[in-house]
This record gives sequence, C-alpha cells and structure tokens, in this order.
Amino acid sequence: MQSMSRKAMARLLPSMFLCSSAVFLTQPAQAYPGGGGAFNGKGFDTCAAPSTSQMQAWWTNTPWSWVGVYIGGAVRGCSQPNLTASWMNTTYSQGWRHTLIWVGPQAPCSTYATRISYDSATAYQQGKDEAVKAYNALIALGFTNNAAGTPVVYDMEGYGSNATCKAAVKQFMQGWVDQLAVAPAQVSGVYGSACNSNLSDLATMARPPKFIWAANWDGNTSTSTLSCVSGTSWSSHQRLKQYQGDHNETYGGVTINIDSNCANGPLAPSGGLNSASVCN
Amino acid sequence: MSFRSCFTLSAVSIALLALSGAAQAAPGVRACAAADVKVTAGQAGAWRGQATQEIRIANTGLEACHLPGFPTVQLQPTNEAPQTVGASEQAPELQSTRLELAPGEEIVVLLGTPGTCEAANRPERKVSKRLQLALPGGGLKTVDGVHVDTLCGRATVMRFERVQSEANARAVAMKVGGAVSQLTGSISAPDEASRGGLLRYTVTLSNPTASPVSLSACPSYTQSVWADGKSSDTTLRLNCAAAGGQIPANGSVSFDMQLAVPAELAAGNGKLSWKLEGGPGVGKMIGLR
Repeated sequence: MQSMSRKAMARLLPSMFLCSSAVFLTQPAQAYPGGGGAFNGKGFDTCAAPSTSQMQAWWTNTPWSWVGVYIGGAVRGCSQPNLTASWMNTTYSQGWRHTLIWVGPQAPCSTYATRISYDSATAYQQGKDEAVKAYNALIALGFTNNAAGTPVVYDMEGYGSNATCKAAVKQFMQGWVDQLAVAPAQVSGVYGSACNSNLSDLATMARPPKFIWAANWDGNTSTSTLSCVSGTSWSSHQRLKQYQGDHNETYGGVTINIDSNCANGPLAPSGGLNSASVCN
Repeated sequence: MSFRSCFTLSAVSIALLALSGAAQAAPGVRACAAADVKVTAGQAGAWRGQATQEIRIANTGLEACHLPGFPTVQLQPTNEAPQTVGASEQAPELQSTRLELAPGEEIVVLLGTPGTCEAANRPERKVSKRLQLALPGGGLKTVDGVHVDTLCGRATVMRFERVQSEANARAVAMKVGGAVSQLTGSISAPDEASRGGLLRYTVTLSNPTASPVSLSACPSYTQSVWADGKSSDTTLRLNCAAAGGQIPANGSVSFDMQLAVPAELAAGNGKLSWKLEGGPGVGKMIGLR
C-alpha cells in the first residue's frame, strides 16, 4: 500500500480535533438493505468469510471497498462458519459493499460433485431452482425489502468447449436469469472464467444475465478489457473483473489469501460511480 | 445536548492492539496426534477452477498441538491403489507451513483436483469417497463421505490454514475491549465531502445487551479518510462525559464527529473509517470533490 505515513499526515492536519454532542436513542438493530447500484472500485474475494475484526482491519486505509461473499450452493468451496446476518450487518456498517455469490451445480462435462443435467428442460429447471435457493439465502442473511434489486452472481467455473455441454449450461443460466427476474426481482449476474466458462455464449441468450463477473487474471484492472468477451457486451456498468488470483495480502497485520477484483457494475447494497476509477 | 469539553489526544496515532484469533502456542508444543484431534469431511465444492474437498481438523484435546505442514493425506479409491495427495504448484509452501492449534481451534485442509478435462465429457468418474490422514504426532484418521474425483488430474492441497472463527475473534475482542466490544455501530455521513473542507458526520453506538456498558475507562477512537493510496488518521478520546459515562442497556448514543479532509487527497471515491478502541468500527464510501 502506498499510504502516506500517519506522522506525515498528522503534520498536514495539526488542527484536527473532535467536539461531540451525544444524543440518547433507542433504535432497532440495523439490517442489511436490499438493493444495489453500479459501483466503480476495487474489491477482493476469499473462500471463507474472514472474521469481522479482520474485515475491519481490511477496511481502514486499504484499496478495497467491496468483498465477494460465497453465500451458498451445493458446491460452495468452503464452509462459512462466520457468515450470518450479523456478519453481513457488521461488515456493512464497517463500510463494505458486497457481491453475493451462489455456487450450485456445475457444467455436466466437469468433475464437480453436483452437475447440471444434459437434458435442456431439466437444466433450465435446475437454474430456476438454484435462483430460488439463492433468494432464500439472501432472506436468511437478513436482506430487507425481500432483497429486491440485490445483485447476485452464479459461479460457473470453467468447463471447456464441448457443444452439448455449452448448450446445457446456457439453458441452466436462462433458468437462473428468468427466476431472478420474478418479483421481488434480483439482479442476475454470472461469474466465470472469461474464456473457459464461455461467458460470451451468455450474451446470445434470449434474456442474458444483467451483468458478468469475469475471471481474467491478466493483472489489468480495466473492466473494459476482457479476453474472449466482446467489448460491446455488458458494456453499461455491467462488468466485474477478477484481474489477479490466488495471492496473499496483508493489511493491519491481517493476511488473507485473496483474488483481486475491480467493479464497474452492480454491487449490494448501493453504488457509487467514479469516472476516474482504474476499474473503468 | 451539546458539550464543549473535548478530550483531544495528540494527532499521532495510537497503535491499537491487533485483534487476532490466532492463539500463539508456546515453543515446544508437541505435534498433533490422532488422539488430539477430530477430523471431519467438510464441503465438496468448486473454487478457482478446481473441484474441492474440505477436511476439517479440530483440536479436541486439552493442550495445544501443532502441524509442521499439511498432514499426509491418502485417497482410498474403491478399485485402485491409494494415492497420496501432494502440494499444489501454486502453494508448495503449505507443505512446511507450521500451524499451531489451541484447544477448540480448527484447521482446514482444502484438496483440489482439476474440474474439467476432455475425459469429463464422458460419464465415467474416478471418485474417492474415503481418505486417510497421518498425524505427525502418531496415528491415522479415516474420513468417510468425501468426494475427490481424480479423473482430470491428481489431488493437491490448495489451502492449509487456521479457521478464523468469529466466535474466537469475539472472545479475543472481549478480553481486549471488555464490554465495549459488545457495542455495535452505525454511521450517518453525507455522500460527498470537499477536499480541504470539514466533514461532519454522526456515529451511533448501540448496546444490544441487557446491561449498561460503562465508558468510565473512556476509550479513544481513530478516524480516517482514504483515497487513491493516501490517508489521514487521527486518534482522539471519545466524549464519554457527554454520554453520561455509559451506553444504556438496549439503548444507543450518537456522537457528532468532524474530520478535516486533506486537500491533498485525490478526487473520486474515498473511504471514511471510524474505529472505537476495543469496540466496533464503522465506515462509508464518500465522494470527494
């Protein structure tokens, strides 16, 4: 991190002080607001939700503004003992925005423990079923307003170029998109390898996902540059990019193994556009 | 109510105690043996292009023990010879990463195999549903109910790390911050602020417990704003007198704050952070004009 040293900044700010007034309140516990908005900025994802104290250490004076959270699904890679409605509320209060990730059945031509059917009607229904499960997970995590407008991403890991397999995945993703469009609608997204998850196929769906999150570990933060995805697809604040994978970073004495990401697309619970962002 | 008296610390930061769930075992902690731990199958999933299988190792003994690297794992497929799981090319250091486990703590070993290959277009699979762990202190543990498919390549260890449990973190926070660690916080701040100007915002501390939380040992707080690699930090004393020296049971107290936003910060998205010593932290994205 390239932070100016604390002492140096202290010299710049010799007159900083606090005067506080205190007001006594009784108020209900905070809940995580449903909804989302387009955001420009950096985020990270990690397999299991860190503790809230670790998240606090990673909020203060770091480049990260949002975190990818694996909320569930039959093939979520890691257990999530820390992920609760309280964790969502606390990290939201700390300032974090979130990307909610669902990891259900994977391509039929893969070795994952749970897979999509090759049968197109079954695959479509599986996609719808996963959308319902993801919605239920959001509600269980305390999202208000029935999680309306909340972006939620389906994690479709890379699976290659077999035509029959691609067709099944496409049917599945159509089910995902269609079910999330049912009121109270969420904003459908798909995460995957920019090339190996065949994200470009999804642009030709009858009703494509509203946004994509492409894994493209080229070190380039710009979401405009994605391998295997046309520049004209998902081009209106509809892209997240995982530009660096599998590495450790340390902030505030806390080391976490992360993937680095940039957003130029929807996050929960709200947006914040920045025309000068390196993520554009 | 407003209060004129402000308790100001010098504008250099106070190093707050790092909250860490990682208990540091004393030197000479013995290697974990099978009798010390409970080993269970966790999630079988998908991550970073690999088909994954968690193995969770919990210290159920009364003393700390250690693992000098990930333990030897042997897959036991039904119709083939046992296969030993190796280190991954991406994380060879895990083979010699020493982890110490206090009683009750847990370690996760994440195995991965390639999730796709040409052979996966056919229905045949090479799944192991059982594996065996050799503990460095002696003894074996057999784990049933795993799903490790080696059709597309050998299994490797992708992660080997201590579980950063929220419960442990809260216990540590309670030790450091006392009852203040049980407070929750929220922030009300404008969406935008001027560089070189004064940002006024409100922090509300809430006490969700049935007992008042005393502020008699008045904590400090640190506030900062960060943008594009530069930040400003100040640590000050909370105006506890204004709060009557406590946060009432099931009640909240709001504190008005102000922060001089350095003119030197870059325009665009900035991160506002406020952290109470031993207590909650709150923050917000602020557009810096």
